Amino acid sequence: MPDELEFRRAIANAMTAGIAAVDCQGRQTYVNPAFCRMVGWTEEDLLGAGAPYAYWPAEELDEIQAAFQATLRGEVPQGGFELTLGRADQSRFRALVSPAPIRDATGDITGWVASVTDITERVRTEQALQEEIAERKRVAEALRESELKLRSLFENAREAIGIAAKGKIAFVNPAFARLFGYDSPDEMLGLRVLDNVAHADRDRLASMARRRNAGEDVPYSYEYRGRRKDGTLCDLENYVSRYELEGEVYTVVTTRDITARKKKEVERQFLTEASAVLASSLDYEQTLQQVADLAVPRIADWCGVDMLEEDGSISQLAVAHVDPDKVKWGHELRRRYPPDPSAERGLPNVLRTGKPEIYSHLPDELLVAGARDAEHLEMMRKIGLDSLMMVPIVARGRILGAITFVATDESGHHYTDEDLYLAEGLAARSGIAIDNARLYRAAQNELAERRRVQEALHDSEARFRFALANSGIAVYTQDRDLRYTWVYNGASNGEDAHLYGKTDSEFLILEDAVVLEEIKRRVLRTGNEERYVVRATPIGESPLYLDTSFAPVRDREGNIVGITGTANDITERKKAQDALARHQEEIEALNARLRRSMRETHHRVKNNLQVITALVNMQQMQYEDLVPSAELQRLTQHIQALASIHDLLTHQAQTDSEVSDISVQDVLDQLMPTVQRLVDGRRISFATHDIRLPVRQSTAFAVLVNELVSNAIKHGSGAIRVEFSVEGSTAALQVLDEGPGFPVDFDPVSSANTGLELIGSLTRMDLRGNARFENCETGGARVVIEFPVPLLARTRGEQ
Amino acid sequence: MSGTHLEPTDSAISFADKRVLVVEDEGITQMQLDKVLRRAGFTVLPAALNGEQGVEIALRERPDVVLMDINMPGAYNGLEAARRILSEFSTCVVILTAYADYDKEAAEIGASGYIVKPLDGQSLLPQLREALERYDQRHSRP
Repeated sequence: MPDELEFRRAIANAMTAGIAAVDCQGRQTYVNPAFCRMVGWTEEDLLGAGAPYAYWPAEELDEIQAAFQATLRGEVPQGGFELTLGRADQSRFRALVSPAPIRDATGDITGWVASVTDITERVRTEQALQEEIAERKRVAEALRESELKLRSLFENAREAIGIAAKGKIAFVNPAFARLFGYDSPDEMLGLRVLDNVAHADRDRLASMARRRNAGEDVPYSYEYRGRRKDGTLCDLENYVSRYELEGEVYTVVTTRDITARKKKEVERQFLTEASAVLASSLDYEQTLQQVADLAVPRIADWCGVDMLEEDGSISQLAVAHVDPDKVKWGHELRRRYPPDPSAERGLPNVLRTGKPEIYSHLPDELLVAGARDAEHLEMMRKIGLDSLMMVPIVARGRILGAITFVATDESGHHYTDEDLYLAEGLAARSGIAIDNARLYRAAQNELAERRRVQEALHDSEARFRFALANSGIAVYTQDRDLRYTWVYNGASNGEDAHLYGKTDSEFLILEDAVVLEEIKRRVLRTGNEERYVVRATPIGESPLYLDTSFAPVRDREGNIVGITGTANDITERKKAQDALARHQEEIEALNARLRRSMRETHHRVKNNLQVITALVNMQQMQYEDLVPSAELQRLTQHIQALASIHDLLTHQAQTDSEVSDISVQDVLDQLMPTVQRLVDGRRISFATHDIRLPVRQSTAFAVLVNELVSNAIKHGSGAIRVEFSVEGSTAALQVLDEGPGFPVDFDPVSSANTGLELIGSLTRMDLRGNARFENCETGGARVVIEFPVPLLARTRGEQ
Repeated sequence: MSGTHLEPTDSAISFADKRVLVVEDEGITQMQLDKVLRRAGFTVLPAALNGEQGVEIALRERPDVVLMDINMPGAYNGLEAARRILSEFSTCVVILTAYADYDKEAAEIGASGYIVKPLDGQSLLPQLREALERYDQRHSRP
């Protein structure tokens, strides 16, 4: 047997568990090598040290002290304490500490020994295991929740989800079944996938499936037409995925009903295309036909467009159907049965009220009520009218026409308010297009008219310009400062532009410019048009006479911004007019003179008739019933004397229409030969100075000479001499004869007879003179009439 | 020709008490009137040879009748002279003229008669009587 101590040492060295012992005072009494390796301190470091020991970490002190006290109290748990101890390098480790008392032979406890096992790895492993278990639990819980969720989702999803294998339906959710019109998912199980596809799309979808199975890259999403259980079609969209399970390939599809969306798209596309068509041309009759064509069959089986004419009649503008024969038939139907304008429903009512009408379902009774006759009813039934809507075409509040959409049993469509909304949108676009087209046509017509007017104006303007250029009429405009802004035909040298910016006073003499500018300022002030003949004398040139008119020029607001005027050079005409006026005045003056002369002549004639009447009257009074022939002869001579004066007046009137006086010489020249002819055998001579006497005095003078000569003839004898002389302001008429002379006691007053009275009266009253009756020294009688030379005669004489 | 012959008896108007002024520049006519008027019983005043003279004598002599020529030499004619006379006193003015167209003017200034030359003795006196009757009627009214 080896030495027990060595043996114990060897055992202690061989132990992998750490052993540490303390005495009842708490001093470290033993540590084995394993313990020292475990904590990193040497035996020397540890032995003898009291608590707390070096391997008790400060942060674990409370827990270790509690375990130590429990040990001292003998309360060591089964399996020992799991504590965290510290190493010399300050690291920590978990340790299983199993203390046991050291008793002496009497059984008294002398110390304590504890085995210390490093359980750090075990603790780590246990923790990892616990964590794995917890994770597995969590995953299992999550899977359970997920499965529940997925199932719920699948069952309650609004999206239709189906799973197919080998071309047959393996699983569908309720939404999928509802989508295709089945009562439950079970009803669909086992059906062929293509049974729920419209015939038109079956080949395409079958091809895609084959290619997908062959590994080709096929779109995972596509649209197609589905076919419901009841055979109706719908627009669907599939999202496809595949998975393999237990050697079987499954196809999962999520199917969405896109019928409404497709319808919207169709409508949107229709509206887009219709808008494009309407905008493509201003020939709205053609574009509306195209729009009707676009409408079928997308939104209608029949589509018609009717226009409301100016006279209230309805004309069919367009009819569309996919079948051209039916279009002809539609025209024929309209021809035979035109709409009744007074109808309470239908197209006339829409055109009358501007309100749309919609019949989602047209019952046969309505057709019966609307049919004119049996044939009409049959034709409408033949169309298969099923649903109908009519919308007015309105633009700017005016009803232009209406569009009719008819759905027949061909499509089985029934119009809804959404369709009506679409139709109204189309009608609104059509209205704008028609309105634009009509406005454009009106504008085109107006443009054409304007072009025509412009051409006419151009022609007219050319004619006017030509006429103006050759007429001498100037036209011009002036601003408010009366500066010329435009002149045509105005400058005498043809350079109108030289007048621009000038005023009248800059090129006309001041006197004329002042008159012109005064008129123009008045036109600017009053706004009234004026017209005058004015004189315009260019500086340094001859005067021009212009027939001018002036008018205000107004801007758009009516403000007077200048004047415009015309000026017609009438200088030559004015000269001619002036000359004519002068001639006219001369003629008038001549006429006036002639009238005066005529009046005077008549007056003289009447005066002389008065003289003759007076002479006759006096003879009558003297001789009463028996007037001697000698007196009548004397009267005749007086009349001839008066006539001789008229001869002279007539002669003088050839050169002077207003004869006011007569030459005494002329009177005697005219009178004496006449007197001479009346006397046979007596010589009558005369000598005279010449003065002019007023006509009236000349008459008196002639009668006086006649009377005196007659007396000389009657009472005297021999030659008779008549002398007329002028001495200063006195004229003297002498009639001498060679007879016995006057008796010595001759007294002209007492011897008065008509002849002497006449001589006296004429001398005194007409000539303002006096008469002397005397005898000549050489014999014979002499009568001397002296009278003042009239002022007129003296004046002439002086001349 | 006698005064009896010229003066009808059936008229209340008598020429005998009438003083007459002749305003006439023509000697022969003045002479004729003088003879006719005297024979008719008028008292014939010295004749006036123009308007001014006529006015002067008329205003001085206040004749019952003024026989007034129109066309006379002087400052104014017979119508003006008649107007001036009538503006001064009332008398029977009878215009004697070769002009036939001054009758309205003569009536306007108040002449009682208008006799157009040539003057015939036989027709002159009835016209004078008419003028005097017209004058009397005009001036006998209340």
